Amino acid sequence: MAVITGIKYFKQMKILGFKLKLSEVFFLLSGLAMLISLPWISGSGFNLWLFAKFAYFTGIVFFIADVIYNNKHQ
Amino acid sequence: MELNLPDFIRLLIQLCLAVAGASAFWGFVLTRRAKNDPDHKSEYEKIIELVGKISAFSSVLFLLFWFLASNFIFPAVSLAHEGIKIAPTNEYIRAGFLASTFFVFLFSILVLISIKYLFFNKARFQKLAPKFFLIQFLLVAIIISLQVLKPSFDKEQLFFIFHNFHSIFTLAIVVLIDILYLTTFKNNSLKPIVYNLFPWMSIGIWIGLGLDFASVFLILPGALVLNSQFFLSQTVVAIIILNGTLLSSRVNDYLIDSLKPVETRKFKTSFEQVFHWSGSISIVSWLTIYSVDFFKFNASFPVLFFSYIAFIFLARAVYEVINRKFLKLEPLSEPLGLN
Repeated sequence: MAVITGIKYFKQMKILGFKLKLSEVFFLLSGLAMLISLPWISGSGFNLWLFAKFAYFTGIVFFIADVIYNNKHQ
Repeated sequence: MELNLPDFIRLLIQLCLAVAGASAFWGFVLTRRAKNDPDHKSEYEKIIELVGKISAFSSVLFLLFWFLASNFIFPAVSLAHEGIKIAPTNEYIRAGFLASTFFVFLFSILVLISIKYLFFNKARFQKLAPKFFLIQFLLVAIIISLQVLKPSFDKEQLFFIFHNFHSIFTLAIVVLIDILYLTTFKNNSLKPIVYNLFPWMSIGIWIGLGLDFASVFLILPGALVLNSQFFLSQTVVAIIILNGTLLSSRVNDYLIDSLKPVETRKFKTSFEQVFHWSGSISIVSWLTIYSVDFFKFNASFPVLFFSYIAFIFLARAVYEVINRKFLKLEPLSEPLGLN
């Protein structure tokens, strides 16, 4: 419920001129972090790689909330 | 590249079984949605029949390949997704085939009965469809989870279960979306139902990939092997996430928007190009990480990556041919919708 309320207020964020949904922000963070971490994966990049996974799971939560919200308010 | 018949047959088993599972799952979802929307009963029945046919076709192929592999072909070695290596021994794979025999037997009986009704008694099939789809999904879930069986239940066994199970919700849904999109493209009465289901199917894909991510944590850090295969898989997974961001929100919005007449649409017609590229990247990326799962590639990362890019261009070209030959539409004069 809290997530759905959050979606209602932060449905779209404007970043670098692009209107992005919260789920998109986290998925983009996840994908980019995964790509950036690869050259250093055996050292310091591993933590960034882990962060990419956690950003991914956060993205899923917001994406599900977004689809449920859109379905109810279509 | 090391390509051999056992690896290839196991890839086909996984693909057909996953598509059978995904179509059973979404077939069941469609039967539930149809129950809540009696005004569009006939449209739902057509899509349920279509999903039933996809399910039956993939199930028959699975049974054929499973029979071939379990009886005549020695089980092959497998790698995990994302290039994170954990190779089940042939003993585990053989034990998996043995343990799933009873469930495959039940599955084959169910497939025979559902094919009989699907082709010779459609009214009865529609009545029994929720039960068929639900039982089929449960059986597929059991069979796909038992593909690799260790003598003891530990983290590695749990990894194998998640790792095999998630394909029902990843590659299989991508394949199912492509089939549904192409087969309903010219049918204006079915498109609203199918397009409105796509955001929910996207949730399935995200959760499926999440299951694989979660399963990887069970075998880290020992299973990390930093070779070109690992870097290819990781790069492709990152591209799947970045492309999926576009595909699951903007492209789904675009498809739903395309149900309106051109003059009232939010999206420009040129966005169609973005959609086509995105779709090509998606299917090639998923097929790439599944190929990495079953085959060993000895080439360097740049060679593998440029081959992957070449396949994306090839898929885009194939889609363009299909689009120009078969998928030209007349402009809409009024909005298409469920209401």
